[in-house]
Amino acid sequence: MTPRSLSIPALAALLISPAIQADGETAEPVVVTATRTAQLADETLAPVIVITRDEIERTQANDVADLLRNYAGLDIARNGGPGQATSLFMRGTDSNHTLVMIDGVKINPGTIGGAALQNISPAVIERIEIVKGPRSALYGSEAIGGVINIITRSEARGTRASAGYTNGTYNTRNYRFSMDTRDTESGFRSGISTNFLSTGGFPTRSTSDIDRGYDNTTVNSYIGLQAGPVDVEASYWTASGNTEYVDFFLNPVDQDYRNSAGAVTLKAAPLDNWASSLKLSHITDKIDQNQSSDFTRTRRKALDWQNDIQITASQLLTAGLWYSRENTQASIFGSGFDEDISVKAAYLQDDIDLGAHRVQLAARVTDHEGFDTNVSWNFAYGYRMSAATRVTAAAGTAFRAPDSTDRFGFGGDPNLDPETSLNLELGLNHRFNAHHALSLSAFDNRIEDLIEYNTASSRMENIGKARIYGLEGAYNFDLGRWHLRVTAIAQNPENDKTNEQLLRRAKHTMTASLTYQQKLYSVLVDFLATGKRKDVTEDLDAYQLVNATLQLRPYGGWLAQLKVENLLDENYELAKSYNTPERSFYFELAYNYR
Amino acid sequence: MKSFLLLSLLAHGALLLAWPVVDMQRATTGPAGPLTLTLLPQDATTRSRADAGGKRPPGLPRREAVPAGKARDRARQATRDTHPQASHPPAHPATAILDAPDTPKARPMAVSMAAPAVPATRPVTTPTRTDTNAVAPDTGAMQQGIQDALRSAILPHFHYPRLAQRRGWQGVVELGVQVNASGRLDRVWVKRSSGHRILDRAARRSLDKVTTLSGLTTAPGKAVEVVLPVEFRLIDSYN
Repeated sequence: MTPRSLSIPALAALLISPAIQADGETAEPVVVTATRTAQLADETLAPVIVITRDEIERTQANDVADLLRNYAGLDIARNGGPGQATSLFMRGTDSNHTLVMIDGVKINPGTIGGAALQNISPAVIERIEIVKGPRSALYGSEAIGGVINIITRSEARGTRASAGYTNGTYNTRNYRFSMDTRDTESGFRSGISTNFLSTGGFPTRSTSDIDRGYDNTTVNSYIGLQAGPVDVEASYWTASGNTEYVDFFLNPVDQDYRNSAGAVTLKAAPLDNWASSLKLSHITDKIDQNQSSDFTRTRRKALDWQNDIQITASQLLTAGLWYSRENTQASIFGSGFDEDISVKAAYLQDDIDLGAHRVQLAARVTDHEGFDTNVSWNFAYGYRMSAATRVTAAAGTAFRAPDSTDRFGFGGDPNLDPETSLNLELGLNHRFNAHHALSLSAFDNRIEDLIEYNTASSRMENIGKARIYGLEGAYNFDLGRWHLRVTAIAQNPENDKTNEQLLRRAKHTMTASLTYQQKLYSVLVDFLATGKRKDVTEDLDAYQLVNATLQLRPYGGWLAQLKVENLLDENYELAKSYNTPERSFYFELAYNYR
Repeated sequence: MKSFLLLSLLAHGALLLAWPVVDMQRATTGPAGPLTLTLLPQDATTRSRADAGGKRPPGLPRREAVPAGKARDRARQATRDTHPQASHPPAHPATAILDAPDTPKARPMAVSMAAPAVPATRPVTTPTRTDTNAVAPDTGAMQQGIQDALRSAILPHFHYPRLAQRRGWQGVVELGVQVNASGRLDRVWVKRSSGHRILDRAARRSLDKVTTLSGLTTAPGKAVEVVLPVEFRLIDSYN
């Protein structure tokens, strides 16, 4: 607390300023500003994408995957419509090479590595942060292609509430409601968001004519407060529902799913220059087959203790410990497993800021029950050539621990090694003027020991190799009411042994997003062009997709919006012989109170 | 659940208790003394207006901490100005608000984005009824001088601590500054904490390297206390 050292003259001075006193205002301060850094990584050293709430609302996507695909380098594949199995290939890496977190809690299941993006409803999301490139040196397994952190919390003060109803093609209905409150003085905040989606869907397979539906109930809630020097927060996110699809023989089947992530986080600043947070989290990822006894389930408890210490004005140290205990169970076609795995890790990062020069060094030691200790590291250097131009160079390693299906499933081997990668990268950021900016990255990512099924030995083995090199760019143009974003990637995602293009990943992708904003309305047009991709049996043709949204804010907090998905009615495939939505319309009516 | 409620009650209770104390202290003030100055760097005001609402305006380029660019140049200028004889007028005169009863509005709000060069509030240099007995006749000019000098002296030393930037910490620190008759900074203290000690310290330390207010055309002639609120604010740069 501040010492009460007000001298008499100072108090007198306060007395003769009744104008201030009366209004309860303090004098206009000297303002020191800095850029808010993403929680995941500093955008001055790594390629970071932030998708804001405004954009999420305008895009009116059914799930997170549909939001991500508007950025080049984030390819998706999907086995049919909403809710069907969805894969994300970040910068051409495998679908289990992206670490996905909800409010900093890792949700990738231990049964298979890829997170269930199809079940994450955008309705409860405030912001999505994406960092491309290896991040195992801080976050551990799966961070080979990059990391996605889905943030459900808003920093807005006061009370906000929102409700919305959507009706659309394929018999789609969506109801959402949310309420948040935050008192900045006491640090107390709490909120609850719910979303219910139900869609009749369309036939998942091109050779089937049975509509396959999907429903999703999402609840997200949190409560937090500042108690003296300690900040405590408890949060819980859950998504559950039913997915209908057809099996290999085109028979209609369905499954129930449930995903959840809960956490209790304690934050404190033991010293002026030391911030510490302790996060105890729990996740579940569960699928139950309704026509058989097959199921998969992951439950994981994790404890993450992270410390940020400002050792000197120019050095910020991050040090942390991680412990997790995971239980994975599965029964697939009668054979299954029930295994416990614990992982311990320690990580350290030094972030050195020398004005124009920035250096970041990070390393993590991971002790996994299944294999020898893994060490991942990251090095990044940034040089600010001028106020408008920055160049970066980075090198880093990453890994993916074999999942339970690799180790204990069909042909599994408990002694598999992790898949490992080495990525080299160069970056350039340039702001031409207040209105437009360009960023470019060139990367070369080599991945070894990929776990594949060896038909000769009938076992899973560390035999695969891949190399993905490429160039990607993003251009942003901002002119008051107009905003244009163009992203593009040219990459070569290749199997390093056969020299064949990796499945379902394009060599060329381009996206453009144009927004025009007025007080009473805004218009958004999203364009996506994806090149030819290879799939198991046949190639997938190149396609162009246009989505458009008209948003009206006629009065007060009322919002009406109309979205047309696949405006050109393009007939395209994200996975061979699986259908994608035809031209479809969605109308939303919402009310926002703030 | 129960403990959360209890803690919330405690936190609110503590706040309710703390508030009246501050007001009481303000109420029990003695006779009129020196003036309170509010420092208002021209472009800091502009920026703070522009950022109100938390969104980066389209016209404002992505920016690191304030002192990096323009301010640093001004710092160099200030260094050149340290020699007393070389007291040319500051390149960017700050706007002073004399917190006197006659001051029309406490906040010079009207400084707009479009015309940052035009100070919408007239620099209040007119002596007022209440302060005539307390301050020398040329107070206005003197205050202006102190303020310009203080501002040029502290701006180059401000930085946003990276720890705070990483953790998303923001807040307003109120610094008390006591300037003696010859322009020396006698004392700098944190009058009101931002809630984050590293920000309080960064604000206070920005004045550590300043011992004497150079560049003053006239010495204050008497001790003056200045209240300087420093706001640390993070700007979203998403696009």
